[in-house]
Amino acid sequence: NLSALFTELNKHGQNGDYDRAIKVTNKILKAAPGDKKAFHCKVICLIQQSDFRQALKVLQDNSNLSSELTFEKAYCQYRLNAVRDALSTIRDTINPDIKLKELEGQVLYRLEEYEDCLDVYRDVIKNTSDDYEEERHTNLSAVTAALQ
Amino acid sequence: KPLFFDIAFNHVEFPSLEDKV
Ligand SMILES: [K+]
Repeated sequence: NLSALFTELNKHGQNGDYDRAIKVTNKILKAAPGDKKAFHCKVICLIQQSDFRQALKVLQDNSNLSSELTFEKAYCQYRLNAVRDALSTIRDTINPDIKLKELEGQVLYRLEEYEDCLDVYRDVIKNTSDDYEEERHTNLSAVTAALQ
Repeated sequence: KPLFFDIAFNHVEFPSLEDKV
């Protein structure tokens, strides 16, 4: 049943066994084609395997399941060097969450739009408290150096 | 080239499956 499959999926995900996890998501999606959580997990697995092309393809081929996965879509575009597309995806999102703002900062840095990038970093740093604060300040230093 | 981290990758995470298991 689905509950057992999700338990198995959760286990493989926690172990970083993304091959097995994808197989389980496929089983769930065969039984329940509209299951957004299983689909989300499948996309996460593909990204974790650095298969950004396939992740973006499944997102684009399943618009009924992917409408809320704008962070994942933009992240794939960013890693595929479709940086302008990534920025469009981010800016088309209403009420972007902190994950999207974080990615927006990275996208703007890649686009060498340093003034906007600085604004985004200041906002993200102000509104986060997690394990990445040191890395964020390193990135902020790179932005301010680029503005000199 | 200055150091610049891909912090966003850390946000690529499974959603909570608590309501599914
Ligand atoms: K902070």
